[in-house]
Amino acid sequence: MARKKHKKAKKRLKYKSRESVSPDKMPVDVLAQKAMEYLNENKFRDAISHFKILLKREDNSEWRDCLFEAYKKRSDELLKKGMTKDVLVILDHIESTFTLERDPVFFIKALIAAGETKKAIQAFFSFNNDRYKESLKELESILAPLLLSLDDETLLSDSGVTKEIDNNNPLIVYRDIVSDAIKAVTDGRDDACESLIRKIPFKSPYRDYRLFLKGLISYYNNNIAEASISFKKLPQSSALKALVDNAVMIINDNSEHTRMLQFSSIPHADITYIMALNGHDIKLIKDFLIFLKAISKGNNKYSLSLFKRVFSIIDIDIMKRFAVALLVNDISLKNAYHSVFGPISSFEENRIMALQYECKYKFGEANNYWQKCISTSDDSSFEDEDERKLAIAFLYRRIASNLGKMERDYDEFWYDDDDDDYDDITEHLELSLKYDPYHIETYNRLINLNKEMKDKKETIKWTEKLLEKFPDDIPALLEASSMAYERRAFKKAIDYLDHILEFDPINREARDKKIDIHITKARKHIKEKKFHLSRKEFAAAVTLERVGERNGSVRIKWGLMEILAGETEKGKEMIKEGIESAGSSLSALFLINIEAKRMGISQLLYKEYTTELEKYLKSKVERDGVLELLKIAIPYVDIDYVGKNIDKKTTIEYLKRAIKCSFNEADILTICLYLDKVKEYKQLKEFANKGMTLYRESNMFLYYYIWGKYKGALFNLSPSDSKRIASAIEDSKKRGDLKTAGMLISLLEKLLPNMRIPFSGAMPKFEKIFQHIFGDVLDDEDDDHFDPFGEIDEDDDSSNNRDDSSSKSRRQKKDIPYTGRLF
Amino acid sequence: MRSPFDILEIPESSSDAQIKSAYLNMIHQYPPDRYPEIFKEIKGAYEKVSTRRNRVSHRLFHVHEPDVNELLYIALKTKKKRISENTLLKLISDTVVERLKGYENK
Repeated sequence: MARKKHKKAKKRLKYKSRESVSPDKMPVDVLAQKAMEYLNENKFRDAISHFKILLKREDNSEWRDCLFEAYKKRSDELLKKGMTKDVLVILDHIESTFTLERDPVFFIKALIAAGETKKAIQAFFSFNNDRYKESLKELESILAPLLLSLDDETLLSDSGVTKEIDNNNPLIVYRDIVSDAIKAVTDGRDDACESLIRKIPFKSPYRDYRLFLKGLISYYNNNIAEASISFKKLPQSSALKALVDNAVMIINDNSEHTRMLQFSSIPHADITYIMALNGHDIKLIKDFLIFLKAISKGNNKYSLSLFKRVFSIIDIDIMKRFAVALLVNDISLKNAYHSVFGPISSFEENRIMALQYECKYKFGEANNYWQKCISTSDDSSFEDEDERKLAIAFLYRRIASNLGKMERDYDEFWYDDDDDDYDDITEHLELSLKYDPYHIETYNRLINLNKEMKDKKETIKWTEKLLEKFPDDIPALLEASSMAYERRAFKKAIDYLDHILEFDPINREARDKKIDIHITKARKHIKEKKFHLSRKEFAAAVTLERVGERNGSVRIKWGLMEILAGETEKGKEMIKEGIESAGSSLSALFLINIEAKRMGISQLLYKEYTTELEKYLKSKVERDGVLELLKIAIPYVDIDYVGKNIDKKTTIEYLKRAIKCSFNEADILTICLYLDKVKEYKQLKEFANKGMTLYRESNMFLYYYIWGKYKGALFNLSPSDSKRIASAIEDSKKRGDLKTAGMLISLLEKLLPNMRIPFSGAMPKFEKIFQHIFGDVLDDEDDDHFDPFGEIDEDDDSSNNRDDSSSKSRRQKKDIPYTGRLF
Repeated sequence: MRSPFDILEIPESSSDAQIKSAYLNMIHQYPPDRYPEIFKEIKGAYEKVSTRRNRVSHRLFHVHEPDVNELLYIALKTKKKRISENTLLKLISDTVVERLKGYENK
């Protein structure tokens, strides 16, 4: 109040200082000029006072017009501000200064806007004579809904209104029909409504009701499309259109737009209209809007207190779910929740707590609550014991999963024993199988975990357990076969594969594995010079793949065996067939050379093939040739063959010449993979650099680049390269490229052999780790915004060879012991 | 806030077969080429409750986002009854008055 007074006083002061002379004392011409200025500047209050003084001094029609204009505009201004009482005062002033006949349309509209409906109706009928008939016509559609909203008693018993009403006016003549039609539609008497609609003439002031009521009938009969057509035909100026137009668009059942509704972007009036049309009470709708507003502002406690008020609008189960969602974000609302929905079970409370901690990535705390859920599972409302057991199995699995995600403190990354975590995880997974013994993924997880831990015994145990439950599970059978193969239990390995081929005779992987086993057995017999047994194995392998590349490969090996066995002609014939089947001479020739060396066949016996291969390789270098060579060469690297023969040399020479060929991303990765396997670091760096330049987004090339640059010995890794790796790990994880992230992590693990970096879940804080290793060197060397590809060395071999005295001195400066390797 | 059962318009006690049948009805009504978003919602709901194992998992671990727009959507879609005569007439006359308050402006 005091502030208001102060404001007024300030305004007066401003006014005084602006006009040193009071308007009363101003000469007429100055006053008139000032009044016009105020009017033009939309300062209607000042304009009104000045024109009033002018008109007291002299009656001037121009000033009168201006005063009337200022009054009209001031009343509009006040209406927009909702100051209806002030509008009524202005209307009184107009009435006393001018006659209302000056602008009856304005006057009646202003009365309606100010809430004086009855006065407006009275005025309308009092003016409704031939003189004003045309100008008042536009008011009919405005007055029609107002007349409908007044009951007969109010309309007719009020002496003022009744006196003026012209019973022959169409507004009165058709009022009852429209009123009855509205009643009929709201009562659900659609037929009656339709027949009443037909009685409303097209030219009557109620014509819009024809479309409006038709639309409503369609809407209530769930024919939204029809309703929409009717409502769209309503004229833009109609109040009825404002009521239903947006509403029907919003609630159109078949509109995807409806699903994307945003509370913040829909006018509350539209929400009110729709909900009111759907039969909700206006007061409840207002409460609901307050409730939604409270939630969207994050005032959860307040919104929970409003829950009960909106139960009649939204189903209690939905509201309960909503409240639980709020609880997961903020458990302090627990008491408020209790007061609305009653107590929650211990199980549910523990569940909410666990979920809340998971949302905050506090997996250790979450697991404590999941454990509590298991112990309070009797308390919950599971359908039956089977469902409860299933839930317990899920909870154990969740705990196991969270164990893998748990963030460790920095110091916890330094430990030698990896087993603890795995033991915990496997223990929980095993427990889950007690309650849900038919969960195939859990068996697979246990198999993979034990494989990671290189625990063959446990891997076999879980594979066999899986096969007990799922005897026809192909991946498990393949896995079991591989494990049997590894321990050279060939018969068992073949039995598993045969089982697959019984019900899936064209299973590619099973057939390939079976061929591999036959070839391995054949090699064993070749070593023992038992060529007749070897022949049997080759024959079995050939029957598994009668044509194509694989068949060609088997025939070539068989042919070489025959040469070794002294059957040179027969062998060469088989090799010839093999080359034909293989489809590519280059890969076949390459294979012959590798296999012949492997079998220890005298070079003289296969010289023709070597010469042909060399000729082929010297003649042209092309992408396809490179890929064919690598396809053959890569599997041999894995059996520790490369390095002992000329074929590595052949391939490397060929690759050297191929650096300028056009390769795609996958090609370069294959080449890098090969060069990494054969430890050709210089070329590896070159190809990785090519990959980095062409495919900047692929972090995998950084892995190979670093590996090549440091020649596989990472103890000299520079701080900037470490940071580059860390940055690429984060980037790969963000992209969801977990394979690359894993490989890059393995680089750091090689750098820091005592540190285990979890592959999934939370990453260690690299900054902290690097700070520990390199001291403040990082701050000196690198920018804050590190570009993982910012430092591509074109020809930098010095990194690995450089004297690391600088890093040594840095370490000495930071008093970090140097042991040749870091730590 | 709508549960998968709400989306599929079936009670929570429905069997696997009933859930599947409701799902097929719904996707027939909302084919993916015409209603991609609605179809996605229906498919997502079905996947969450199609088997007992999925239902238990959903019940244990699903966290609803407290989504105010979802509540609004539910409220707008819930038809209780027809509007009353008085409410309708009042809404219309209020709309007229509200429009006149900004009349000159328009």
